[in-house]
Amino acid sequence: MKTATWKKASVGMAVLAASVSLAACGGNNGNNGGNAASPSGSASASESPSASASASPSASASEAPKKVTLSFFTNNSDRTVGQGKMEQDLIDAYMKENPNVTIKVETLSPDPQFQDKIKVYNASNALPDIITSWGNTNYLQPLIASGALAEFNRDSLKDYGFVDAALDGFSSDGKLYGIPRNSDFYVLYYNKKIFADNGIQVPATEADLMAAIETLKSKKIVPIAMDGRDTWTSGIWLDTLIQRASGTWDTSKKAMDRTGSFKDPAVVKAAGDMQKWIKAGAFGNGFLNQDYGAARNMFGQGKAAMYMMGQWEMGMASDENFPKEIRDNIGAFPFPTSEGGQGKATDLPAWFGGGYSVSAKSPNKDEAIKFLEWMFKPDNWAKGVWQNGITFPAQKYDQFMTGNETSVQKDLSAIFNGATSYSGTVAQDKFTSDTQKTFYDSIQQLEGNRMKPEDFANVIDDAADKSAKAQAK
Amino acid sequence: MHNILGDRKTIFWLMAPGLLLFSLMIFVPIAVSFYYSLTNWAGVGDYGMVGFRNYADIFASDPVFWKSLLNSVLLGLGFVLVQHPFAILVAMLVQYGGRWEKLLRVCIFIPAIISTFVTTKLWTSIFDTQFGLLNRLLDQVGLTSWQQDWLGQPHWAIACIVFVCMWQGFGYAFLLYYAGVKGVPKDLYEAAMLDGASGAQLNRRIVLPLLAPVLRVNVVLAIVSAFKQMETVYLMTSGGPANSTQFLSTYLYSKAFRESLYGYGNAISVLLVVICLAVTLVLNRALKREVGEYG
Repeated sequence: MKTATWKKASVGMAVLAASVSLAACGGNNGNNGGNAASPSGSASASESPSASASASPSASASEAPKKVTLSFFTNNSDRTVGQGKMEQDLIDAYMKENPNVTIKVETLSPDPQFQDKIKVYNASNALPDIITSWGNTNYLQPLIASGALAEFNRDSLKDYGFVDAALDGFSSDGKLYGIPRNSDFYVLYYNKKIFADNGIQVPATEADLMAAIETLKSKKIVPIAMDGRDTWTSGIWLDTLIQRASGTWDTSKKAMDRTGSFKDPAVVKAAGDMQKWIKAGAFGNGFLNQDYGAARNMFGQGKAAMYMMGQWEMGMASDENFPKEIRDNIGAFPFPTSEGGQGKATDLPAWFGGGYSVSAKSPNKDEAIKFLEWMFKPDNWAKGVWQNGITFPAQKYDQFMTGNETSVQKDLSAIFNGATSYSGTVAQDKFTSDTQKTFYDSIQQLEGNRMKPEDFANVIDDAADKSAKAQAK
Repeated sequence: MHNILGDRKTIFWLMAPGLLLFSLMIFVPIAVSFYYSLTNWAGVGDYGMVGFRNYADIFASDPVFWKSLLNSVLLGLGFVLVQHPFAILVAMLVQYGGRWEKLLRVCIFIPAIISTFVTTKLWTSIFDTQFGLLNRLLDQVGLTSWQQDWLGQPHWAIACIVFVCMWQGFGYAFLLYYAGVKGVPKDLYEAAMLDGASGAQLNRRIVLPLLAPVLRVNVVLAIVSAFKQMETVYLMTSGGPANSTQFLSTYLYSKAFRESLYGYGNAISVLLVVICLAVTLVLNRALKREVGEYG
């Protein structure tokens, strides 16, 4: 009797002890892992690294600088490749130089999920000290309007070599609310080996591209890998096609500020061109449900010949997850001209997108600003991202050219420096949140062949009108 | 003892902590949600009261809301008319499994415990149009004409989502029915066999009617979970393409967080609560029957 009860009790205690210790482990991991909630596809999945929780050393005897912990919330989940790696390297270096500062990193991608979480943080007044931000209207304006972002002193950045338009993108009413990190522009990456094997030249006109698509389709290679699930990719493509049709970026610009309209033959032509590309099988089957990671992987693993994406993916050339023969054979070319359109291939869809902002309500606001100003010293971010082939900074980088750039970097540099015009902020980023959804839904309907180009032009014009009215209030 | 338990005040004080917790976790958020549904809050900054305009907009000028309601009902019907009969059948068959019974139980229950994220990624890969297992299999077998853009066409997308939800929830449905089947007393079996009933007759005429209380519970659970479905849809298609696979929860998420229309999103969530309550009441009333309950 006694032994039976004793046995039961000991088993019970063992179970209790085990479950408590497991819960403790789960708690720690859960906090870090749970933040990187939905990684986009295989390569970019990760959790926030343990390096960030580096032990903050005990303060020294007399003049100890105050111990500060900064929270850093970024959309770069993969800390081993590309911008994520650059961020992490700089954070680690700063923490080494300034032992009193600890920077805790939280990551979340893809971008829509990241932006949702920012809204939640902001609504509960718990915005992290440093956050990734974008210079477009519908992201930045609500945050500025609710007083969530701290101001930067533009003068203290004057020797950093920032492109003025980049700083302007993050400014409102003459005040600077963020530091831009990239010069973003949109290109078509291509696999040089696949092109060479199939005798395809870099397309300069729409006809060339269509011919290339036909050749690739016959070889069962997906012509262009496209992230169809995220509609922002198609939005930039639309803006580019509108420019290729009308010859100027103003068509879209004027339609958004209502000195013009989307009910324009150029827009109808552009919408028709989109459907033409899709009908010709440019993106393969089922691209509408393909997400960012899947498209990137398809190109990186050699299953697609081209990839429609921004310059920030030039880091693919150093992504160890891709086979070497593909990494060494990535090139880029600008969007071709459209049949019967006036835009040139040198007119570049370029804007200054990503950057960082600081929370105005943070108790460590000054430390955070100090960190960002250190991070963007030309020798740190600009040199690092350029020389490691990661992306184009928003600062002058000519002084960091080594001559050892990857071939895709050289291609992109040539495209960027040879551009005859830049688009600036693209149309979709000027909409209010709800009209932007209407815009995106219409694009998806257009791509799924469930809407005619004329109707499309009308619907997005109404949305633009509604958006302008809401923002004028 | 009697004095203590019979005293109403004592009962009240004993129940109060639990009731307090319940109301804090459930009633208060619903009330706050209702309050916000009467505003036009954008999630940041100030807001103004707009009365019932959000509700009017939902009922009068929002085709996507009705589509999402229809999708939820479709899923509920899928659960009740397809998943549950199948679960009952399997529950009845498994008891004849002999040595394999325990193993089968575990295998059937495994999909239900795998994280939703993992299973949806799995099925999304299978349904992938270009490189997915399903299309490739059809190609190998020679049925290339049956290949589809599974998740890109509206009607196929909803069918795929319903299928994955049914697959994942099968374990739970099965478990409850299995418990019900096991709860039938052995002497009924013996009596039936003495009377010369075959296996099928036994199951149909005796076990099935005695499963009625389990059925009631299961049907209500299934329909409410169909209305609450969010993760699978969100991860497979995000409600696309072009809002054709929106469910109530994903729609309200999109409205509240993507479009920053918190008031509108809250209105949808309040309606969701009302619909679930109404459905539960109706189902409980309709399925109430005098049945000999065992165990």
